[in-house]
Amino acid sequence: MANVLLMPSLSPTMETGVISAWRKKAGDKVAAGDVLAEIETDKAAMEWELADGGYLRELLAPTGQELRVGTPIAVLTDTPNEDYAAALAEAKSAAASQPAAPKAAAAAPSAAPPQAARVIPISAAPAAAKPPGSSPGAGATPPSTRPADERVKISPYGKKLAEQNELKWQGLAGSGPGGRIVAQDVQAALAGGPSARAGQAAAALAAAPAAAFEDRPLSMMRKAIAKRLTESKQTVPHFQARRKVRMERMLDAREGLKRDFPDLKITVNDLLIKACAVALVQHPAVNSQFLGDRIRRFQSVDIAVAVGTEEGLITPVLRAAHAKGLREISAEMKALGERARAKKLQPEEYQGGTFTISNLGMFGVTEFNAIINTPQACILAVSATVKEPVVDGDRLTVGQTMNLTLSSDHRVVDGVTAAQFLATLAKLIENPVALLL
Amino acid sequence: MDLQTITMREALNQAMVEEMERDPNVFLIGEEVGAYNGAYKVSLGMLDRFGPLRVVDTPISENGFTGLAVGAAMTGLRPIVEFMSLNFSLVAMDQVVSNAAKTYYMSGGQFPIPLVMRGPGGPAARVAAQHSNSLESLYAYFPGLKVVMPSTPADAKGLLKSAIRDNGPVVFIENEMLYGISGPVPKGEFTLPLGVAEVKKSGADVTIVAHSRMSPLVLGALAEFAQAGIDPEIVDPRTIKPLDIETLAASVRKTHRAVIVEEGHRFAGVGAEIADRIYTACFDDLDAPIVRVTHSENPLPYARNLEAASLPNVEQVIRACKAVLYRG
Repeated sequence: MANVLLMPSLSPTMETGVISAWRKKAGDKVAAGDVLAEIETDKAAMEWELADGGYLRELLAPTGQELRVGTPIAVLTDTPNEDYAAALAEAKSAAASQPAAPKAAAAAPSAAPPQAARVIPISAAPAAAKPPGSSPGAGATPPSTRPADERVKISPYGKKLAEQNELKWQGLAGSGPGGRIVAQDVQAALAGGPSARAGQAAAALAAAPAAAFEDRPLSMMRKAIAKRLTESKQTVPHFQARRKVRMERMLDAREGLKRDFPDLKITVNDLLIKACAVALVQHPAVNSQFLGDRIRRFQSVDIAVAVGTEEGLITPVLRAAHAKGLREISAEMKALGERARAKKLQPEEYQGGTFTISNLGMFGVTEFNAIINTPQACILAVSATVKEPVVDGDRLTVGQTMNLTLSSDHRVVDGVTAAQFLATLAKLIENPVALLL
Repeated sequence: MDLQTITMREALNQAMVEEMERDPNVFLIGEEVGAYNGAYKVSLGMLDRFGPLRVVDTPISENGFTGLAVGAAMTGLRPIVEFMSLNFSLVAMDQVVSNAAKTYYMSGGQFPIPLVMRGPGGPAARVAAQHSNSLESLYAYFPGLKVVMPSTPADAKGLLKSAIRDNGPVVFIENEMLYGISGPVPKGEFTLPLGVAEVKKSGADVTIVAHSRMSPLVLGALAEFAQAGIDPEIVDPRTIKPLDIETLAASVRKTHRAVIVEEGHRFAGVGAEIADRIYTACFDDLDAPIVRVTHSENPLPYARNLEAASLPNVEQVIRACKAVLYRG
């Protein structure tokens, strides 16, 4: 009997593995318990022990190559000379027709280590962790950012459901034939773990002695915010870097503009946007996106500015901020803000963006951590400027300070990068004339 | 509404009797319809009631008496041709297809053919290949013919009356195995419009389209469906042509999946046309391709076990439903 060994699934999230070393060679007689190979996974390097013995007839895969779970990698036979061609051909064609990795993992045969048998959940949560480069925001994915790879299959109704609920379906695991995404996959992704638990919690609360309440149905915007920000918090490794900046010179600059160019109505926010744009040009690593297998650096600085409306938060995008002067930035921000509040923003006005600024300063917030607007790499939280004691040289005096908090995606931006960006930004804010450079 | 519980056989009888009383131009012609009271007793008592000019026994001569009926229709009469088995209509196919279906058109509208051609079609019980054809897709194929297939006594009566009143040729296909089933039928004058489907059972999970004998087959298996965790919506087209795609599509838009069950063969069967119409009307609402459950690809055997194996059964329908629901 011939036994074709397949790349085993050594962890619940393993989709590919690399054979870092073969410990046996073709022609060896092997016993159950022998280590056949060292396999490197997304988590660690492990020794793979044989469950059965026999004669190792052929090694099918080289070391160092990334292989999908379920790929045939070796052939064992019971007797040293029997023909295994048929079994191998069958195994190869079976492996070739396997749909998405989770199913291949579930089909791993007897040679896998004992702990390999597990249920791989067919839900969107792990798949959503690798956004296929589609941009954020409600509505259709702009074609330019969709990867040119493999065609994702989805039933017409499944697609309709996903689009109605603004769910990015391209990353879902499909439970239908050929990996087809079907309605139940979309529904599972929409329901998801956290909200199922929330549902139970809500039910438990409802059972308790009732307090007076009012239920508000979710608007499309609220739904979108809920979904996108949850996804961001769950899948992006956020870290925050904080910097306190001295605002005196920027406030002076603004006062000057207000006095001598009153019609322009330049705000501190406009100045901050300009400063960020300039800083981002100097730190392209921050003006980037994580795309699963690569990092995309944008050549344009498109700054999304968070605007609060009655219904919720929306982020109109100021395109090519790096190429615009303060006057233009200010005019555009006013227009976008008005349209946002009037709910008249077009999809192309709030989709995309390479960096986001969120400002709660006008409400008196002195510091906060913003949630990254995936798939962007960073978001800057701007807070209120306050008068407080500061140290100038060795003297204690009163200064005007503001806390900047940069939340970054650690997959794209490391601590040092964030710190350097903030340093540049701080310099620009504290020396607004440098914006002219 | 006052209801009577009668068999389909009785319902068909009432329809013909009432229409013959109502309109002196209506007459019945076929083998054994008179003195024998009908090969399946559908025309029981009619010779006694209406006499030999209106209930006409014929020799075994389908081509002849169908041609006679077409001629009678051309002169203003309203014949009901009974085929002892609809399979025998194949002997008269030229009359049905070339004359009954096309005369109105080819005569520039001078000769409407208000003709009903009725009889039991489809498989019965071990009547073997030549007597078990489902001919609805064959007749529906030709412009000019309507094809009606009732599955309940009420549908049979209401639709036959409408077919008799219709001014064009109607192929009215009954089923021998359904003649004996009983059901509620409104008392008094009532008709059902041709070209209107009916949701026989409302449901949420999957739309099952089933006509003639397949409709009671599926309706009789609700317990099995429940056990399989499936809540089907069962829709009977009732009229094959013109097909009521609106009712079918509304159902599929609700359930997002369809299974079509037919006793006829797969290739160019009625289910193929229905599937095409559903795909066109409901493309964006389908979660799975449509699955058809049909007669297998062979002439129907005489042996009981082979006959059963050739025809659709509940287990196949349930499997089809599970497939479109992506459940194992």
